[in-house]
Amino acid sequence: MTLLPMLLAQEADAGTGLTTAGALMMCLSVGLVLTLNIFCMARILTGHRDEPR
Amino acid sequence: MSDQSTGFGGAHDALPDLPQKENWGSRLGVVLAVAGSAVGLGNFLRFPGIAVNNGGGAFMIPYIISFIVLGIPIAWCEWTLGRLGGRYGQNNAPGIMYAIWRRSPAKLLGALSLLIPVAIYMYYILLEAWCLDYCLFFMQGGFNELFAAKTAGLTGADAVPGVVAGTAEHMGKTFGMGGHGALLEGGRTIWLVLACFLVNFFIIYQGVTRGIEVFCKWAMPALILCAVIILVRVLTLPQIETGLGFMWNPQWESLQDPQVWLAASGQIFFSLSVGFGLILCYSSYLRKDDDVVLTSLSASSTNEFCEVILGGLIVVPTAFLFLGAENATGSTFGLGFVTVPAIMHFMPFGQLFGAMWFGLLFLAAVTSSLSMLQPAIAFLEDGFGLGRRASVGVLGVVTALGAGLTMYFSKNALALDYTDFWCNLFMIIAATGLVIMFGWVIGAERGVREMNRGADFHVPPIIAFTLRYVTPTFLIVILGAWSWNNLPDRLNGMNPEIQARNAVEAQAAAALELLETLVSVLASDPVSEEADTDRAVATLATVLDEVSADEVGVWVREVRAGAPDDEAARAAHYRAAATTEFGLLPELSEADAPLVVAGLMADDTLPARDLLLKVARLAGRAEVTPTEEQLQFVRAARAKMVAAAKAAVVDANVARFVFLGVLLFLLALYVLSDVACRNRIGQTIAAHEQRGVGWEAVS
Repeated sequence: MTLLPMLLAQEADAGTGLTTAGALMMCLSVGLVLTLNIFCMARILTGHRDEPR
Repeated sequence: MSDQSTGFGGAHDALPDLPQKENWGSRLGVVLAVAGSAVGLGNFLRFPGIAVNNGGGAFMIPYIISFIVLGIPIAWCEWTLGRLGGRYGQNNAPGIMYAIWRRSPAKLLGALSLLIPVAIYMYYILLEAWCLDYCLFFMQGGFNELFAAKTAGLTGADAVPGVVAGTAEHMGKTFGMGGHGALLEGGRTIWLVLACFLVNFFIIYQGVTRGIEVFCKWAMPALILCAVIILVRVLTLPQIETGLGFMWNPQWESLQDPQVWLAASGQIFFSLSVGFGLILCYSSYLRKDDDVVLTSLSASSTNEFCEVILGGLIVVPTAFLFLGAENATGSTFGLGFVTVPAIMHFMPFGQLFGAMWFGLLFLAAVTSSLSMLQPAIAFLEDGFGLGRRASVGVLGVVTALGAGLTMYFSKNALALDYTDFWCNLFMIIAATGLVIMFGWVIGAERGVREMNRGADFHVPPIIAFTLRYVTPTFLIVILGAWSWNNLPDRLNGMNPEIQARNAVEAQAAAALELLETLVSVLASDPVSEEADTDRAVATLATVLDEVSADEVGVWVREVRAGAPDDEAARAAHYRAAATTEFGLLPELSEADAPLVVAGLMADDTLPARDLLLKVARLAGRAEVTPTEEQLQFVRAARAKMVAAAKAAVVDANVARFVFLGVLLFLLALYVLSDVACRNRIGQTIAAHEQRGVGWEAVS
C-alpha cells in the first residue's frame, strides 16, 4: 500500500518521462472511455435489450 | 459491418394525407451519423491543447465530471426532444420546439438552433478545404520540398526552427492570413472549397438514409481506422513515454483553478455538439419507440473515444518528442496546421502518415458539415414545402455567400474567428434554453418519462433532478464565466477607435522596445568576444525584421569599435548610437512613453520637427536639435502607424459586420420560423394531433 505514494514522491522531482501518476491517469481515462464505448457499441450491434418493448 | 438493430429501418408508419417522412435505416447508422457530427478538429486538436495547458492528467477529473453532469444529460435531453418533435412530422428545430411549447421563446430557440449550424458551416467549409489541401500537399510531397528549402541540410533539433517556420509560413499562405482578399487572388484553396461544397451538397441531396447515413457508415470507421494506425505508429516510437509524460503527468494544483474547470466543461460542451440543434434534427428521424438512451450514450462515447484516446495520445506527445515543449502547447490551428506537418518531417514515413492524418481530419470535417446542413434543409422542406432540389439550392446560395465573405475577410482569420465566437456564445445560450425548457417548461420528470420510452435501459431518476437543477446551473455558470472572460475583448475588437489606438500604441511601444534592445545588446558583454557579437547581431536581426543581418553586423561592429574604455562613457556611447541611428529619444523609456509617442505620432497635423521638440520637452530636455535622420525616422514611423491604424479600423469594421450579419441572420430566421409555425408547420402539427399523436404540448 505504501509503494504507490513512494513512487509518486520519487517521481515528482524527476520531471521527465511518464510518471506513475501520469500513467495511472492515462490508463484510467483511456480505460473508462474504452469500456463505455465497447459496452454501448456491443449492445447496439447485438440489439440487446433489458426488457422487451 | 452487420447491424442487427431492433425497431429501426423499414417504412415510416406515416398517417394518411401527411407527407412521408424519412427514418434512419439502422441504429448503427444514426449512432455513427451523430458521432460523426460531433467528431471533428476539436477532438484531435483542441482537446490535447487544452488538456496539456490545464493540468495534464489532472484535467481529466473535471473533464469526466463535466461529461457526466453536463454532456450526457444534455445529449439525452436533446435526443428526447428531437424524437418527440419527429412524431409531429417535424425534423426542423423551430417546428420541434413549437410542437412541444407553443410560445415565442420556443420559436426563438428554434431559430437559434437553425442559425448556429448554418453560420458555423460558413467557416467550417474552409477548415474542411484546408484539411483536404494539406492531405493533397502531403501526397504530392510538397512538404518535403518545403522542409528541404527551410532546413538547408540541418537535421535533428537544429532543423526544428526551420521546419516550424516553414509550416507556419505555409499555413499563413494557405489560410490567406496576410491580408483581406488573399484567398481570392488565386491558389487552389478556392477550388478546394468549391469541391468540398459539391461533395457536401451532393451527399445532402441524397437524403438522410441514402446520403448522410451511408456516408457516415463508411467514413467514421475509415477515419477511426486511420487514427488507430497512426496511434500504433506513435506509441511504438522510441522514447514516446517522454511525450506521454508531458501530456498526461498530472499537475494536481491546477484543480484549484476555476479556469481549469471552466475549460473542461467548455471542452465537453463544444466537443459533444449538444444543445444547439444538430442532434435535435438527427433524432427527429427516429421512430416514436426507438431507443434514445443507449443510442445517445453510444454516440457520445464514440466521440469520447476519438477525443481522449485518439486525440489525447497522438498530437501532443509526438509534438513534444520531436519539436520540444514550446511547440506542443499551441492553439487548435497552431497544433493542427503548423505543429502536425512539422512532426511528420521527423517521423519515419511522415509523408504517408501526414496524408493519412489530414485525410481523416477531412472525413471528420465532412461528417460534421453534413450535420450542419441538414437542419436547414429540413426547415426549408417542413416549413415551406420546398422539394429537396429547391432546398439544397437555396441553402447552397446562402452558405456560399457566407463562406465567400469569410474567405474574403481572411486576414488573421478575422471573419472566421468572430463568427466562431458569436456561434459559441449562441451555442451556450441555446443549450441553456433547451435544458431549461426540458427541466422547467415541460417538467423534468415528464421529460424523463418520455426519454425512457422504448429505452434499452432506463435512465436513473437522479437525471430528472440533474436536468432540472444541476445542468442548467452548470450552463449558466459557463455562460457567465465564458462571457466574462471573452466578451470585453471581443467588444473592444469591434470598436474602431480602440483598435486604432491599440495599433498605434503597439507601433510606438515596438519602437521604444527596439531602442532599449539596441542599447542593452550593445552594452551587454565585452566587445572583444566575436561570439558575443554574433549573438548580438542575431538578436538584432530578429528584432529588426526589415534589416538584414549583414547590415546589423556592420553597424554593431562599428559602434562597438568606437566605444570608449570607461564603463559609464561606453554605456552613453551605445545609447547615443542607438538613438541617433533610430531617431528616438532615450529618455522616453518611461512606462507611459508609448502612449505619449503614440498620441503625438497619430496627430497628422503636427510637423515632425515640432513633434520631436514636444517629445524632448516631455522627456525633460529643454533643447533639442533634430537631425534630418531623426526627422526621416519620425515621418516613416508615423506613416507606418497611420497604416496600422487604418488597417485596425478596417478589421474592427469587419468584426462589426460579422456581428451585425449574425444578428440579422438570426432575426431573419426568427421571422421565417414564426411565419412557418403560423402556417405550414402549425398545420402539420395540428394534423398529427387530430390523428392522435398523443403528447400534450405545453401552451
